[in-house]
Amino acid sequence: MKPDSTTKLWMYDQMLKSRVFEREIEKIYMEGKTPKFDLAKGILPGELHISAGQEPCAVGVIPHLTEGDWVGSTHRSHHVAIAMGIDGYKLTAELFGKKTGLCGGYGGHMHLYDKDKNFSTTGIIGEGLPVGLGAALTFKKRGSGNVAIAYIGDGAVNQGAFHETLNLASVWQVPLVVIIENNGWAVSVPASDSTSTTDNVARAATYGIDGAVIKNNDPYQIYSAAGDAIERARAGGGPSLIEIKTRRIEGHFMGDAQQYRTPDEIAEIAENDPIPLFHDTLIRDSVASASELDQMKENVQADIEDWIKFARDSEYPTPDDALKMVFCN
Amino acid sequence: MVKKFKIKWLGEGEGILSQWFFEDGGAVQEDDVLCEVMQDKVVIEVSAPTSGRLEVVTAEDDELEPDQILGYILCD
Amino acid sequence: MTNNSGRKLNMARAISEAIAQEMRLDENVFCMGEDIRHVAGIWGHTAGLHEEFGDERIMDTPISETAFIGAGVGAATQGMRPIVELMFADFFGVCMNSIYSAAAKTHYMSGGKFNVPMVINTAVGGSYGDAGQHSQCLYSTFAHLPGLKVVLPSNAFDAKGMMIAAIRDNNPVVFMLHKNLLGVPFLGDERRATSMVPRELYEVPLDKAKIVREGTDISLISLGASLYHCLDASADLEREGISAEVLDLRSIAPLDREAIIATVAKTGRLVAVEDDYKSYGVTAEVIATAVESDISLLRSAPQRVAYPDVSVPFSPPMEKFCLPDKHDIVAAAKRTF
Repeated sequence: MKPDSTTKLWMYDQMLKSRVFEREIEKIYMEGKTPKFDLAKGILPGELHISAGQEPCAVGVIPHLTEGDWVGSTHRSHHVAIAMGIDGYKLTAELFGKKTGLCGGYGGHMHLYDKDKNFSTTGIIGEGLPVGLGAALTFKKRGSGNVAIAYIGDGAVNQGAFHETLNLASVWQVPLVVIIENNGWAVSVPASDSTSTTDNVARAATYGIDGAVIKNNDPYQIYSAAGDAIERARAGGGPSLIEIKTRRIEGHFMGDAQQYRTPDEIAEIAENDPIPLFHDTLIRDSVASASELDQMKENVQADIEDWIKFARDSEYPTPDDALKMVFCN
Repeated sequence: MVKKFKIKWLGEGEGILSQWFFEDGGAVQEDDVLCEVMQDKVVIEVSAPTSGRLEVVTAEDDELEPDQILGYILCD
Repeated sequence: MTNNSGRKLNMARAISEAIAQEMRLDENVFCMGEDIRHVAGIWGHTAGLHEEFGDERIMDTPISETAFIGAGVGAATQGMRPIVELMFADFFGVCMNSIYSAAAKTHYMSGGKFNVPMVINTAVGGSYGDAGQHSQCLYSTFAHLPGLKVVLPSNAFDAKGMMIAAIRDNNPVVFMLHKNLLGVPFLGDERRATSMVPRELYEVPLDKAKIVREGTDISLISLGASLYHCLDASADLEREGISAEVLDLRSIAPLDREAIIATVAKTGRLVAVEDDYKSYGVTAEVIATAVESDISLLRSAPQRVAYPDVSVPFSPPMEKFCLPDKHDIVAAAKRTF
């Protein structure tokens, strides 16, 4: 399964959007936090987990989704949110903790929820897996043809919830696709030290489900594998596991000095940045010209700056709004 | 004879002396962490190169220049 | 034991020193947890340990809390003295069985045959924008369960002594690290938590509260970061002619009920303060302790100042609204007059 030219251009556009967004947000995050780095200070408090390098994992999968599909992501989710077309103004405002944010300021960067897109994220490793299982179960019960996509990292494969979810998804034969964004690191612990299998896709067979591994962060291969898995799930063919060997360009969180990574590794990652590689692919395959791609970048920059302005100008919630939202009516 | 040893701030760019763990005149042992310097999200611990008595030169919360003297250790 | 080392440590360093000194004495002590080798467990409290003790005794784990905390229980029953990390107390959900069933109940259910000499380190507290899943305190969630000791030191001196006591204790100890007090540079700056720390080994008991400010008119009873808000409130109250006594609980389970009753007997007025969710909490337990001993000790209704019963919101004005501060404590104190 190959993406058509329109999809290819869309992919590049979304990758650019994610990357430009992350770069702008990184700068804003540091406002008010120097010279003494303090998470509580500045206009973007709390933690921030940058998705730079992992953009293919989003753009390869999202084009296959239809209305009603469920997507769960993690603490590192901006690339997925953007590719899903989550309102950029509301997304940015949520990071700023503004009333106009996606969740009214209640959730913040790690807890993004969009009801219309059926999208949610969590800061607890593995938490989204059983939740995705439940969404998939519902789709099967209703015969809706929808699928649930659960994104996790390589750290999550060692959580009990991963094994319970895969087993049960297989027993129930539900339309769940689990996508492992394997960037090789769980904060400072390399997968080689924590995980008994080199390729997590090997675990799929243990649970009697289909598995695929993409070893090089390539958007087209991800598109193909995801397309197959999602089509199969919609047709009642049960769950799948897709492992993507991707790359985390930055540290685990903003403020992580990454002293546990070697300079060679960091250099290698920069050389294999998926966006310049994809840029060259598009030109080589005559999908677009260099000047067209440059224009896309300018447009993206302008959009992101608009989102940021909206977020900056928006109001905060009233302090005692904190007491609402515990229960619904 | 009193030997003085400098404790320098060897960083590049902006830094801030975050906290002293000894008072001026305090007795320090070699390898004790004397103070913490924050530079660009990283905490740098400045350790005593030798044992002796600490003389504080730069105060807490002062912003630092590269190569700035933070203090001296006096040893007899 | 006098504390005249002339040397200050922040709480994270005091804890890593305690662990290192005990590990040198007892080869059965070892550590398991996420990111404890190269980034000092995130909070800095395992700094220097891997360089000294290596992979055999400082073991990075996968994100498998049920497995490695449960493994800690097993190793402890076999004579080891493990220190295991629950990086954020908020993560207890994925592994609580290993803690509240395996660790807490083994000694009791075995009629005293097996014991579990294990320390579970876990970081608590918010105020820096980490939102609903990374900012909780959960003091009473753990303290409620029989068989667990639960402690929360407020300063570096107590932290070192309590860590040594916890490692030597033959029971499971949940050792809470308040994020605002560790001296982690990117998590705020309560300088008073950094204190003089003796170079030698010493213990601080795990079941004794401590008076940190003497007073005569009202008792402010608290723990962790809230303790410092009580000290700030005391300074304000002093200016208005009210002399506040401040008690640092230090231990949540077992609770030093004698110390609570003694200070309330002295002053007759009580405000209990915590940064955990209000209902069913430590402050409720403090008040129950005071009231059920002898209601006539109290001249007025006791007050509690706590986090409201809501998840921790992300947005700064909302989070600030929820966090107890000295103004809330002063207002509560005045309500007792």
